Amino acid sequence: MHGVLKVKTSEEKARELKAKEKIKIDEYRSLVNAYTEHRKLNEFNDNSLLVTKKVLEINPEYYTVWNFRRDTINHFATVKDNETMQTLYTSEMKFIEECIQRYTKSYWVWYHRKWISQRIDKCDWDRELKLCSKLLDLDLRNCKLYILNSKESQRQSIAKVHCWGYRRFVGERSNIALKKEFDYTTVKIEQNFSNYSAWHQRSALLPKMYTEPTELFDCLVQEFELVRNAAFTEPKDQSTWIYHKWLVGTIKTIPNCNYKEVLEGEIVAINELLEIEPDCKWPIYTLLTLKMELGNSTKEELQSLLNNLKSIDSDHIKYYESLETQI
Amino acid sequence: MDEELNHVIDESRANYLDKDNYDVIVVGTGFVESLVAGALARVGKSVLHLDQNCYYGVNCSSFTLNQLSDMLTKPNDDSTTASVVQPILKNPYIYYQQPPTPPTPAQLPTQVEQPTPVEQPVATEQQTTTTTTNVEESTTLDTNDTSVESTTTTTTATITPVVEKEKEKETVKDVFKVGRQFIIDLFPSLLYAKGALVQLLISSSTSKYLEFKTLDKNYLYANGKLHAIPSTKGSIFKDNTFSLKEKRYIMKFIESVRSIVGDNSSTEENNTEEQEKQQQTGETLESVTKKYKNFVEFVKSYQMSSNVETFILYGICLIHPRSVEQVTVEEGILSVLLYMTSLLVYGESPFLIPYYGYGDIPQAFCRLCAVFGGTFVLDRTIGSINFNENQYTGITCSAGQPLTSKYLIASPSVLSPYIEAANLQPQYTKEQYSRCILITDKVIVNSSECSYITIPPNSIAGNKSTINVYQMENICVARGYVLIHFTTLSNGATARDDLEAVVETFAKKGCLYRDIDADSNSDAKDSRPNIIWSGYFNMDLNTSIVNNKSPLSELMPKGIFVSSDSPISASIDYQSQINEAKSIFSMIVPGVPFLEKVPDSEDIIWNSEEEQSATTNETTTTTTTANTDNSNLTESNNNDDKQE
Amino acid sequence: MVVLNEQLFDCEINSIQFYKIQYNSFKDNLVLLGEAAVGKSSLVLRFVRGHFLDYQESTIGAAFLAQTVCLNDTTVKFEIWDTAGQERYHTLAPMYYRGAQAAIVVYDIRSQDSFERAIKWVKELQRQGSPNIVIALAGNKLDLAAKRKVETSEAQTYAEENGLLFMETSAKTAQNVNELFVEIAKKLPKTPNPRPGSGRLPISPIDNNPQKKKPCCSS
Repeated sequence: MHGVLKVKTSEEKARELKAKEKIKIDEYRSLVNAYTEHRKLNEFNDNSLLVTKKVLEINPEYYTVWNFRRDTINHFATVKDNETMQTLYTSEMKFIEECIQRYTKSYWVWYHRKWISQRIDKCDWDRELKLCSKLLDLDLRNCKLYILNSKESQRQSIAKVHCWGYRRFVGERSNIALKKEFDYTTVKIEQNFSNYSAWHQRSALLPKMYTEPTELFDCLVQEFELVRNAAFTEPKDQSTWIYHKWLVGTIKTIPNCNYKEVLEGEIVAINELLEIEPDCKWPIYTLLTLKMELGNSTKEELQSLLNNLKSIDSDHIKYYESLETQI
Repeated sequence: MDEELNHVIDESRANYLDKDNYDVIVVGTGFVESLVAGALARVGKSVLHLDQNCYYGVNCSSFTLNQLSDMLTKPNDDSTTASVVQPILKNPYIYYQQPPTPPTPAQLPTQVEQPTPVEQPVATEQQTTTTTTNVEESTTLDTNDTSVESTTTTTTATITPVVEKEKEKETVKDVFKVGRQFIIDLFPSLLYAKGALVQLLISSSTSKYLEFKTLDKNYLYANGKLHAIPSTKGSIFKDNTFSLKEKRYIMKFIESVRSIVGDNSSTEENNTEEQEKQQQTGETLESVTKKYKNFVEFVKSYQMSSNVETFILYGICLIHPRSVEQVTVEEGILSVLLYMTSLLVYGESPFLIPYYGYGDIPQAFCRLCAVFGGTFVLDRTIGSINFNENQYTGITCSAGQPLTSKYLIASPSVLSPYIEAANLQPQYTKEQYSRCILITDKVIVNSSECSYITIPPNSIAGNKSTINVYQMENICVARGYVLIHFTTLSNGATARDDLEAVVETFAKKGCLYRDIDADSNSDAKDSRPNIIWSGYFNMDLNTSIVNNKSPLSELMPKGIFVSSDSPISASIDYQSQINEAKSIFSMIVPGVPFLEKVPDSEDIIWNSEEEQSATTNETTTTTTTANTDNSNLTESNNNDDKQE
Repeated sequence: MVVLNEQLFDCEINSIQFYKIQYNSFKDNLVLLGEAAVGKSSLVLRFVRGHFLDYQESTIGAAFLAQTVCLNDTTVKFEIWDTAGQERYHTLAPMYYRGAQAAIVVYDIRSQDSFERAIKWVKELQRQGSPNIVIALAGNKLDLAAKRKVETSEAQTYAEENGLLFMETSAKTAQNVNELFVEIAKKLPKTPNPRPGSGRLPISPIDNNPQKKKPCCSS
């Protein structure tokens, strides 16, 4: 009949797939066996590098294999000349890069990259930064920013923690301008402000950038403004409130500044937010801490905020009870 | 028609088709007809698909600039055979920029009803040469003292030739030289990334034939400015036109729309706090539909600022009938939801643009039909319809050949004599649209390359209906040009009356720098793009759909189905057209799945085993042949693998 | 050309596919043009499936075939579009060849008409096709050279003047068929996108995860 194609059935396809998978599994098994052999005999040679590579390509979470690989490289470093070793390191970086692109979340892969990059005579830190940026940009593609599930974003943010960690490591070694790195965090936050790591990076950079107290004060005031925008857009996002907490904690420590005025301003803004979102935990909690900080509220005011928190966030009731003793 | 269309049709066209009996004859290659034809062929029906024009698409067609210009200047050319019915472009009006003639102040642009670009080059070239010399003089003057330009407003005419040499390229004679590189849709369209059409293209594998680009940005025209519509939470966060509270209101509205529709795909991830909150709201689509008269009322119930209301009603909800009050609560909510779900699917923007124009979409379904054995003949239509009592039996086509089929599917315009005879005209609605197609030298001020602008009613020169502006650079246009489409529902006025003031808000006639209205900074140069060519026309579209059914089909003689012209509007998704196609399809083949996925060629089992074995052999041969030619790299790679 | 597979956006983090797709996957669309019955489908079937049928009926539903050619440093995946019979009444839609990176214009060496027609197609492609399109002219049915009407030299000269690849082929005996495709593959530009940065985007035909399609939600 016209238009009716003879098509492989789903069973046939499943069979084909299974057969293919079986080949892969068998391959992996034999590779692991080969690795175990090498390890047993403590054989550090070209072949042990090859075998570990093959295993790690399939399973980068197998950390003892990484260890054995490093042992092998260490051994080579004692017997081979530096030139040979540098070539080896370079190819190793390339190999890790492939792994990273596949398994961003694997701690071991990032650890291995750090380990190798320190052994390279002239590591191209700029390139390393670019690699980080590229990987962190994948973030953007992976989340629906408009109406984002906060847990989802948390998970993704955490997944990028290793990459941010490596980025800091690279930053320390490459003398990247602080301002440049700060601007980078701004870009990332504008893309998606549910980003613990980016906010954290900011908090690490700011005190280094502004050593002059008045400069730091002015900058923090601007940061409050930024956080306010994030809080109004998505008051449920934890990462912004954690940064807010850091801002409050930092601004207090600046000598001879009128930080109380800034915090009063924050109270006004949060109250506005609560008019629209009366049941949101984070702004209430922040309001409470601000009022406690300033110490000019009545016990009743604080108690009513606490009661509110206890009812909407019963999971942390013990914590709120402990706060009750402090007011 | 233009020769390039003509030559596709062979002069030695065979008059008669080899086969004269089909399951279904479809007339018109518009959107709905193509969809039904593709679907029917897909399930094994023999389909003959005709079109009265010598091109595909009817109203969903794309043309080159040269073709469009011809159509506007010779709208009812009777010299072509009577059977060639062009889309009826009413009230045509063309304005284009004449090459600058130094002594003439450009404030008097030449209005051309009958441009004859072919005849112009000779005269133009001479004029251009003159201009060039003048340009050099004036430019020298200007570079010495840049303030001259702004202060000597009254002497604009003398500064006339202050035009960079490049600008001279942008005269109409040149744009026609590259006119073929333009792909101009009669009705340009946006596709929601998660809309019904894109889903159908994907599920039917028709997307294989098409390529898309994501729209760069969409804007709302408000308070005389383009306001980029934020597409991500991050862009709301950094938007500085909304106040803090407005930001919260927008987010809150979106959250509540989602909870109303119950779009709750990741329930398992919601914590109890969030679930409880949802129960508190407790609204469903049904309850809000009962509660509010229309979408406007629903939006107003949130007591947001008028700024945010406009943003939602016109920027995010993109259903824009004559009056915003006509949008029902359900339509509005679903449109907002579709917008939201389409974000960040293929890019930041929720919209896809067909890379080679919207006209490729019906063509893709026609191709699907052909792939499944459908026969296509253009420039051929119904001569007469044959009946046996009230039962349709076949047609005599315009080439005189009698053809039989069980069913006939055609659009109202093709069937109009029969519809009139049966006194069925009141059964379909006719909407008139005003269109302007504009070619400029650069993009609209402060806009991105490919962008979509919504202009709410009463924004510019008292526009009565919402106007859609659709701008394209780098796709569908020749390099260095920008194509801008303006579309609005017409209230009986001509397209020029409806749109000219709007067009001139965004683009200017003539290529001179002259001061514009006092409201703009008097020092600022007018940076609006220059109009190089513009064509205005009106078009009628017939729709026979009521509640996704085709009442006309039920009233027509048995075996005849009437489709709608399409698209209804340039700004909504194609759910209703797809539903219409589905309904016609299921009346012909009840219970059969509509446009199932076409299997990948790898999954197809080929006729015989003998063939299969031959295939395997040959594939190997292919590789080896390539390798013997080219130093065996693939081969050696394989070997390496084995050794390792 | 960015090839985005929709699945990617719903996977939690799936950089492997993303990178793979970004860096080394590009497909070249190849179209066949020419008068009916000159052997377009036969050439494709010979190349892709490796067989030849004397009485070839066009394979319903499969006018879109893929085949890979290995070259020195690259593999070129051809997605070959057959005309699906639309050339029969000269109703081939422009969309058929608009995005094509390569085209084979086929004529029957026994028919001067089909050669004239092929020349028209070449002109059409040069005018309407992609700016960098690779065009090959193929005189098919070389196995029937005894009845030849179009001289090799005539076609050769025309091809040279117009910068076309030229070969005489036989789908029946397989003569020059693979060679033709290999030559085309060699001539294809390494950067596939004729207009860089234009972001052409085929939409994904795969929709495995309808459940996850809906956006994640915070409410």
